[in-house]
Amino acid sequence: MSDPSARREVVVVGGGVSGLKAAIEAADQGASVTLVEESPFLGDLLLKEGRIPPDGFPSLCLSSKLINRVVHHPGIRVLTNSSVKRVSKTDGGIKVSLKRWPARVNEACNACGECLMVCPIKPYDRFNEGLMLRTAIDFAGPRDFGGIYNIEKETPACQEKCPVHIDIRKYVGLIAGGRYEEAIKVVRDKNPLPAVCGRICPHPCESVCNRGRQDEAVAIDALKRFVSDYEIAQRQAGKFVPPKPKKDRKIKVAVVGAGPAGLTVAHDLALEGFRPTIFEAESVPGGMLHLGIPEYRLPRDIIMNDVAYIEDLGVEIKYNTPLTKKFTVDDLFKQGYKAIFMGVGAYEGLKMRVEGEDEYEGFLDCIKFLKRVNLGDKSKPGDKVIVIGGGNSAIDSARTAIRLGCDEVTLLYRRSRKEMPANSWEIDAAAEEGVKIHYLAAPVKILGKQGKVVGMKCTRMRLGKLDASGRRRPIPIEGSEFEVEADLIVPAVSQRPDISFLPEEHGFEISRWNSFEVDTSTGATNRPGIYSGGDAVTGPATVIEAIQAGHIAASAMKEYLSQP
Amino acid sequence: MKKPKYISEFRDIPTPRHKMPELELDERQGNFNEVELGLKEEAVLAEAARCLSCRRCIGCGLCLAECDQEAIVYDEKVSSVTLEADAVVFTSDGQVFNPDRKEELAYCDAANVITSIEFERMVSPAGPFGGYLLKPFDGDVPRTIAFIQCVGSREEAIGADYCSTVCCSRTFSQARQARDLLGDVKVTVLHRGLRPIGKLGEKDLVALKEADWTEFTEAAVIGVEEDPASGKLTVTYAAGEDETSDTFDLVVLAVGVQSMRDFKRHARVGGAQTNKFGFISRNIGDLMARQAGVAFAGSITGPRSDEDAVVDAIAAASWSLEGVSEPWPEGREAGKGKPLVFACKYGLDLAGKDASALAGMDGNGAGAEGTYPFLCYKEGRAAISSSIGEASGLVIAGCHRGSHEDLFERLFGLPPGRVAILGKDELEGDPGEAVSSAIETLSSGSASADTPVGEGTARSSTVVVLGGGTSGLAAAGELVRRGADVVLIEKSAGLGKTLIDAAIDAGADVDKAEGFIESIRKSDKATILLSSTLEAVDRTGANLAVKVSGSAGEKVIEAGALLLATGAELYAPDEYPYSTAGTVIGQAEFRSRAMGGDKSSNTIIMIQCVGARNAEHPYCSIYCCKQALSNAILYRSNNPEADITILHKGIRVYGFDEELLTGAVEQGIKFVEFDDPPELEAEAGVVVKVRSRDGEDLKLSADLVVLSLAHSHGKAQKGLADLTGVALDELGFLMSRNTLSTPFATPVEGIYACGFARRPVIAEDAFVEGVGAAGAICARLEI
Ligand SMILES: Cc1cc2nc3c(=O)[nH]c(=O)nc-3n(C[C@H](O)[C@H](O)[C@H](O)COP(=O)(O)OP(=O)(O)OC[C@H]3O[C@@H](n4cnc5c(N)ncnc54)[C@H](O)[C@@H]3O)c2cc1C
Ligand code: SF4
Ligand code: SF4
Ligand code: SF4
Repeated sequence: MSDPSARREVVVVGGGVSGLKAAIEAADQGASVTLVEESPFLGDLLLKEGRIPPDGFPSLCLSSKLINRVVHHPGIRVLTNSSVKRVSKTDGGIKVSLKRWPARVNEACNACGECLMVCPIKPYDRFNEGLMLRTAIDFAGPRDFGGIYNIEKETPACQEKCPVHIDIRKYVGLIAGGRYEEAIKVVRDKNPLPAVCGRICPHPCESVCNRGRQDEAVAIDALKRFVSDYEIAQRQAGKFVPPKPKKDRKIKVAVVGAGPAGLTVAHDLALEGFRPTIFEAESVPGGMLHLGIPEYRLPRDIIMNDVAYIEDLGVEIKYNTPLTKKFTVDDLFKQGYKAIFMGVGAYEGLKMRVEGEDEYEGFLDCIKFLKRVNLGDKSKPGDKVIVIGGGNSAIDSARTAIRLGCDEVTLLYRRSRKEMPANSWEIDAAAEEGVKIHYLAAPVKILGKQGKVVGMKCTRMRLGKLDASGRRRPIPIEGSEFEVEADLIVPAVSQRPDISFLPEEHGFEISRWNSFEVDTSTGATNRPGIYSGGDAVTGPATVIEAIQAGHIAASAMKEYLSQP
Repeated sequence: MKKPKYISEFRDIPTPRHKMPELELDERQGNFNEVELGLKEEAVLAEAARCLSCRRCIGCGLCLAECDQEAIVYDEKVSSVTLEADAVVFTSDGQVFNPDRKEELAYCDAANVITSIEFERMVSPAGPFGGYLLKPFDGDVPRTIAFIQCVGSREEAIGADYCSTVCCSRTFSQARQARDLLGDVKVTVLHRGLRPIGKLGEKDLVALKEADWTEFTEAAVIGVEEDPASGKLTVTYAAGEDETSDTFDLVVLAVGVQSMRDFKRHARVGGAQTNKFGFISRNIGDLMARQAGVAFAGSITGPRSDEDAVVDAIAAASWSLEGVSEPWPEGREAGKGKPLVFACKYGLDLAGKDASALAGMDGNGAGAEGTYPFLCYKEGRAAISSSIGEASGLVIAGCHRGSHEDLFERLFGLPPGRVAILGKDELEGDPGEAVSSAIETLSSGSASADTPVGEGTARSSTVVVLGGGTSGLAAAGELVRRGADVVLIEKSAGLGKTLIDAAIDAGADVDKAEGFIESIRKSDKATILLSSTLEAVDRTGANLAVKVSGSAGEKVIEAGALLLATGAELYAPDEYPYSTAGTVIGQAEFRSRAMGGDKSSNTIIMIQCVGARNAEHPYCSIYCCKQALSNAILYRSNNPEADITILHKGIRVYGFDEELLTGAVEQGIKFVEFDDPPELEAEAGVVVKVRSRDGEDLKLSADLVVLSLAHSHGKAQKGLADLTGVALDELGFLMSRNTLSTPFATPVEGIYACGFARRPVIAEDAFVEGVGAAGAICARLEI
């Protein structure tokens, strides 16, 4: 038996069944245990359960037993409301850094419950899965299990859903009061591309808006667009003072790619006093905003306005300067850049894997097609066009083709409308504008003559019987083949990052989808000082997610660059 | 959390949403002008006023004014804490899939579509509905309930192509609970192959299937639609070729388990890997390589049941420690007075007794101090606390034996052995009698099961481990690491075959497994006795005298603990002409053929559940489906033309092994489900007759028949029970004192059990069991 003063320090992360039990076991063997739990109460899922299993004892008994044991154990210290920020190995030990969220009610609380009677604000009780209301001040978790009183400044549904957590309630409230200038500041606090997002954000916030329970969600995105346009007007009238970055730290940072992810990183770091330079392969800023998204959804001057705001913070953009096998991240380090962000997007179109795909001329992958049009070539690409796929880029390609004057534009999608990933309002617009949409149809074979595409053979699909793994697979309906004439086929199946610019010995961890492997909580790649985010990490996603990734990386880069 | 849909308020702001003005259709032709034109200022003001300012503290100050304690601190800020640790254990219950993502299930819009977690809150006696099951739509009682399985599991499209493992069993228990609460209710389970867990899971399922109030339908659910007037739900699903619709009062979505963002970061710290679903790998190779310092437990390593999570936790605690420090001082002293009797109403209910059954106690001279709805909750605890005074002990009627004793002892300052719990079994006969005999035992000061035997003699730090399989070796390794002396007894002449096989199966390094075994062999803290058996177990003071016989003669070892890790045994079929070399072989033989590159068989039939899931062996062996699928896939890589058919009773693969099933289906391996065991045509030996579940009689001929032979705890188990005095459970497994509290301790003081001897496990779990048992033993030995 060793010296009790030399107790082993054990940190247990997580206050669910396994965390509680591990803490008890370690403390019973003499360790000094700290149990860290993110929520205000112990018990996690188990505590919610009222289950009586055929063997073992009821969940209620198990949770009461474990929690009581933990709370009363002399060898266990409990830290609720605490999340793990960072864990690092030190010599011989491990350092765990925590962030403790304030309970806003201190130990003097004697659980009298008087406050509950007066609080006028009634949010839904998360612990009870929204089955009932609570008050804004409340005990979290059953009082009986060491639940604590706290004031939850609970995040509204919309804010929680928004990837960058804009304080929507606040800016919408400000708009309602006509305080547009303050409103745009609230938006800008989290979103460096407000006018862009005000137009093309798929607004997940609206899908959870509580107003939707009653009639329809608040038009959050349209409100954002309004205040962003207001700001642009103010700027153009010279009535707007851009924010001042913090004191110049004289540290150079390189950002590769001027897409939303890269722009966000540059924006954040510039405000923090760093000197970001963006290296962009193309002649225009915005990445997919410019190269992918068509003008009729996002006018180019809107992109330029949001970018100009960022440039005004001191960000330099070097156009036509791609990273290549000859100009690599190592060269950037050599040029004195102290950290690098790789925001190179996802530009390689995936193949359809259909017979004849590589045989004939008359194919243009959707990214190439849109890029060509968006960089100025507005010539008619063909008379009859087939677009294959069901995502937003398929719809954009089809609507663009219509605008270029193509006579017939057909869209083929393998599943039914319900499964189509594109936004429903975009699908409607495409149909209205004259795009013919075939659901449950898949390409079978490309038809060609004299080396050129002349059309496509398709088949209708249906969902088959359950197989041993319990799934229904789409299977072709025999004899349902039909042909569609075409002189241009635009596959819009999916994309993945094009990493052909990396030299052989690049040393990055790359996933099997060709994307950069990063630590999602920091955006750090496996190479020290190099971060990544946006489509380059996730594959094709959305602008707001790229912005989120940009924020995460920028804050980690700031920390990295602040180390002595 | 689900969008709060139950409470309709917010009726005060009526304007409808403003439509986005758009460019006219004919104005869009031939140009790229912006289509959406933006809202005008008036519309914007009106639209912004539609926001409900969803609820959270607005800092109004009312509570502050009311709080006499001045406990409210509005401006408290986020703070940082840094901990210096010797070890970290990362755990999680995972997070639950949010069914908003599957719009067709109408979770968002239909009040009566709930998740299985909401169901738990509803039926929880401590929950917001006070334990009633009601339809949220109108507060009425549901009469027809449909459970939809695999919501957020086993689906590639949502990036969760694995089985969440726990949801089927949760559904079974919820179905029973609904029945218990409502009486007249019909339950339909729409599933994609059922996968019960726990050793009693299979029996439970069989009984449920036979009940006349349940219906199990294998189906792919297409959608749920709500009738806005009545709240009734129409579920459309495909069973076989046809699409069917049925109407239900309540639909429960059995939501799956998902990983969380932190897992990846935690994995990095521990030098572990995450799989493509973001869970930390628990491949046997990783488990062997895990060092003290960082450990993982619970659903951070994939969906885990409560029972598994507890086992994981005990093992992880051991991994985080080195040696044992002095126990924490707890002032515990027994008084001289009469033991007190308390009853738990919830526990009595579960035991099918009510408090009146205890009335007789008074006649026996024992006064029940009180009955509380939940004795271990606040009111109950307070009552015991206030009356404990000089009592010498506590008798609790209606809780679970082996579960809460240590808690009550500590809460009320009693030394070990001073709390007697009478559970369902003890209360079976005459509860009054049981109570008085418990009082008598406590008053006379004689030991209960928990009291260390022969206090005063030094406890030996030697542990005898019986069995050199996966769990036995894992235990031996961990015991040695923690500083115990180990005597490992193995009946065969070699060591660790199962561990090495498991490593091969998992695609792990064989060298790692061999190295692991070698390190035990080399350790001067370990003695290995091969070709040896256990002869007798006696007690000497605080220790056990373990008698062993083997090639080197007989030997008595004085040990502080004995661990039974005797593992599994393969079923030897007499219903099939099985041989290890012929045309009817087992999966193990087939595996070695396949590994050797064999491709000589062109038509292969596998028969699952040979000797399992029947009356004699009413549990699932857990391992055989996984093995059959991976063997089939392996064989196909040798002979891509091989025609393989798997005859099964429902494929059971759990967690990430789902991949094997999808892989097999994609490769065109065929499956036929049966109810009655297939027969082999005697004269040919290679024609299999089977009636499929759809009622089709099939005659299949094959070059090779591969039997998936059941794993069981082995025939010798009975003898082991007699030798050691450890009772067997109804399935013949060694009994645990309490499966969720002290899973490795048997009811016999000083004797522990782990691995397949205790419950059916796959190799990875057997390994973790071994480590856990080692930890539990270290706690006892206080080395
Ligand atoms: C047709 C289409 C429509 C879309 N519609 C929407 C929508 O309506 N709403 C929405 O939210 N999202 C939409 N998206 C997705 C969205 O545009 C992307 O998710 C987002 O732009 C990703 O940002 P990013 O910064 O990661 O990458 P990108 O925007 O792709 O930016 C990457 C930048 O890196 C540059 N680059 C690449 N390689 C190099 C190199 N080697 N050296 C230097 N620079 C390099 C590229 O030129 C580009 O400028 C759409 C995408 C497409 C294709
Ligand atoms: S918790 Fe916030 S909203 Fe509720 S009474 Fe206190 S100050 Fe007011
Ligand atoms: S009503 Fe909608 S927009 Fe307003 S705070 Fe609630 S969720 Fe957000
Ligand atoms: S346990 Fe597996 S099979 Fe059962 S519902 Fe959950 S995911 Fe589906």
